[in-house]
Amino acid sequence: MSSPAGSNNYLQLFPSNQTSNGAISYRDGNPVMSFILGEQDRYLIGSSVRLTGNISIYKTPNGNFGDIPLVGEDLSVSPKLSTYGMLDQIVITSQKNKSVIEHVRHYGRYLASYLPAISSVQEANGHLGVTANTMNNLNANDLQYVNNLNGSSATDRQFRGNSFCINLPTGFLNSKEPIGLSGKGWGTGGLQFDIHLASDSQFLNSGTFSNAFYQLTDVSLICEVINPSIDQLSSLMRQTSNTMEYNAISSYYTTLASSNAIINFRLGLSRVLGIFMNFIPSNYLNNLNFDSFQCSPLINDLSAPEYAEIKQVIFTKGGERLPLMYNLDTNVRDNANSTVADPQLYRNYLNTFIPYMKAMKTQVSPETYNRIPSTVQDAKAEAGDMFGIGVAFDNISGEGVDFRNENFGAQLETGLTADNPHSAFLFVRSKQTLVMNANGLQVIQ
Amino acid sequence: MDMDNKPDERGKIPDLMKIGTIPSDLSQDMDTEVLDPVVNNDTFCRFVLSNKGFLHSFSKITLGVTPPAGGGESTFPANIGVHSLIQRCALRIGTTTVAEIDDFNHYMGYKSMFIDNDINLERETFLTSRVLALRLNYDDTVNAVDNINASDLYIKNRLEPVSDGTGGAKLDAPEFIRIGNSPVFSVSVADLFPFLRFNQLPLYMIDQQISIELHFQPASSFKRCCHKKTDEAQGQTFAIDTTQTKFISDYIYYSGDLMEQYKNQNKVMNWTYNDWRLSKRSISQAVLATRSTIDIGGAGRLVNKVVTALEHTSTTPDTSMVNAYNSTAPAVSNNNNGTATTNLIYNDNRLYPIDRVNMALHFHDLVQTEQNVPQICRQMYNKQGGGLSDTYEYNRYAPSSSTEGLNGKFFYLGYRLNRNERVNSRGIQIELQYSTVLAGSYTHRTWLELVKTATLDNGKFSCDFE
Repeated sequence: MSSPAGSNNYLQLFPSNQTSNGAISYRDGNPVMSFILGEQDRYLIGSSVRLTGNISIYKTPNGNFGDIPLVGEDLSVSPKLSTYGMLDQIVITSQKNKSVIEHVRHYGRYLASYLPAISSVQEANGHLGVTANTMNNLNANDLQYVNNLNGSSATDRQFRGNSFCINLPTGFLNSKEPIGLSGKGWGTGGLQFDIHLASDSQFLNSGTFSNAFYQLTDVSLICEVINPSIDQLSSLMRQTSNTMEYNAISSYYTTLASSNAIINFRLGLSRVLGIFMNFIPSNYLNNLNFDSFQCSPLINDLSAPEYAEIKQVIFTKGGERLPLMYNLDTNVRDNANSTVADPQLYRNYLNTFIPYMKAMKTQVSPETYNRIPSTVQDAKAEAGDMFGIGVAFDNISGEGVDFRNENFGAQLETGLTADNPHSAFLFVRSKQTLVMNANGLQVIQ
Repeated sequence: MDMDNKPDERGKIPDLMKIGTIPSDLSQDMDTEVLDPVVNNDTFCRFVLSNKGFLHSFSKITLGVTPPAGGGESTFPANIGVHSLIQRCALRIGTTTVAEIDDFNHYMGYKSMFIDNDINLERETFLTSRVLALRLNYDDTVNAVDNINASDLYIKNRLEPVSDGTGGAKLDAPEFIRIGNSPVFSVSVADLFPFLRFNQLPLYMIDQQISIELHFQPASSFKRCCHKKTDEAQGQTFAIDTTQTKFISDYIYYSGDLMEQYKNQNKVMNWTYNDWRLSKRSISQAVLATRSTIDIGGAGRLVNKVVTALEHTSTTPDTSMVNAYNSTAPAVSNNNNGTATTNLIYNDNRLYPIDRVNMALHFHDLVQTEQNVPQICRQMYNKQGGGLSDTYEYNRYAPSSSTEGLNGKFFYLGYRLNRNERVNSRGIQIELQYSTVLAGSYTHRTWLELVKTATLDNGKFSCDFE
């Protein structure tokens, strides 16, 4: 469908559950922000949606706000994400009939793999640094983000913390098609965006400040809408139904605790394009003492330090190897002391985000994908470990592979011998179709 | 012969003016000329083009300056390079002005922001002397970092920083861009006249004189180059080296009689293109600190976008990394960042439903305006965070300085007019207020991108606003 001609308008929405003092934080009992884009005879440009506001990181509470950590104090956030780390779940529903259009869980874990994979170091320090406050190193990120003194003095205070204006990468909003907002059949009947915030212990990392927290102020959602011309509108009024296709993100979770790790899911998706997963020791999750967004290789013993190798990976569909008809035998299988990144794992992992030959920029490098262990889990150059495993199912036709009736499987032969269970976050990119009519809408997965 | 069955030849002739892919069975020839200007002095030059072939949009004009006795270590401004020499450029066909940009060097301060740092490092350094590229500092002894923890960003070039003996480091400009070595750089005509990025002019179809005029930035303004701090005196004069001012023009030809067929088929040609119009005024610190409404013109025109810059006026602009070619962000006071509140009014409506205040949102609006991302860090845009180094200097200037360095020097505001309306007779107004402003006077520049239409009628060119 071509984009309708006509004028556009900018909109700015405020949370429907705004607090009285305008400050929003998980700690103070506001874990969800809801924005309602009402039913109207317009199209939304999905890629124009931005969450904007100011974010402050505090080491200790102080009145309605808090004290900013000083340079050198033990409080940090994931440099891969910075402000993106506050996002835990995104739920997009129809405002009119409340049907869920897309629900991305473990959103921070998803972005921890996705953002570094598709952006360069320069972008992380550059335009992503302005909009999401990232900087491609833990220490440098702390200096410019966590230790930002803006708002600390009452004199000349305009706002507190760091300004941000982030997009929300979801399949539905990234769709190139304009999204009808009408409730008369050709649209979704308005949209509601529920943004679930991550807990402080998931977002922040500190062994010292047990009451550290983050806080948002002046939050709003901005977007751009298209006004159909009168001719278009009159033809749209006669249209009683509509469909749109988009690449949705579905998330799954499991744990690994053996040297023969088997992941098996009934995805229930008909057009799967690619799957990737990242790992973290389960006790690091939601734990203020660790960076809960780190994407490390499997770890046997951090104090030693000893990483557990991944010797072999097999992807299956219904018990048969697919899409790779062979085992991925990694370099560490032949040489147990090898710490260099395995090129096959690397290539297949990046291939899930964008066809490898078209990937012109990434932060995932031999420096961030290797197996060189460290006693301090975040003591890594650049933005830390960016390890993951993945495979693309269809980078040619774009139609995907049917997983409605057969299970997806991944068999990992690992060196995980210690009693250290790992969480595996699995993300599936699949094509979905949204069918809309005046009675409601349905997502065909 | 049944004329109805005659094959339509017109469909076989590609649109030769449009830059893009060409049919695989079409061959191109290129002819290069080095033209001397017909008028050439320290303030102005004019080139007259040959009426042949299609003008290649990346034809170059070479420029250089004569090094003064004590200015050998000076360079062109780090962000715009040799473009600093050109105050105004105009493309004329006959007596018609096709395209013209006033304060072109300031405009390039905006456009140069969008160039990838790696391209600046690897290509633009040599072509135009644009050198802004940043890298993280993993070797900062002052901030006690190591090869794992970085501290901040400093300028990256072909040289390595040398210890300054006080814990910091100094990085010199590469030898080949120092004015003392009389470097010659080039400016492409597509940069001078942005519409040429999408169209190549069919010079052979035009019967009138085609000329390119460059008005140079006066040397007395000290806005041509930046001297090296501490080692060189401020206020030196850099004269245009007129022997280096040349136009290296590439002309494109197509094989066979295709060009003649194209000419016959397009005896009357119309096309639309965009041109920039400058609106400039002085603003005092007091006015900037209050909510002011600024008329910027555009009445009766189709305006696609508006870009503004605010220069903190200085009598010694050459004592800095980017000279006067910057846009100043609101000041920091008591560790608190300032804000800029803005909106744009046209046709009795505001562009944004609520005034824009958030500093990251300003950046987003700029991205939407240009449909491209500026390759700058946060402190360079809005002074937030402190990501720039204050100990690793470039040409003895600290990147973190808000007067001499890069701190808050790229705070351009962009407005994309999306209502698809012609601006009424009242024109466009910008509402602007800075919460905190450094003392001094300011120059507010606004460029409006206007839609124009051109007609080429049997070799006679004319143009007008759409």
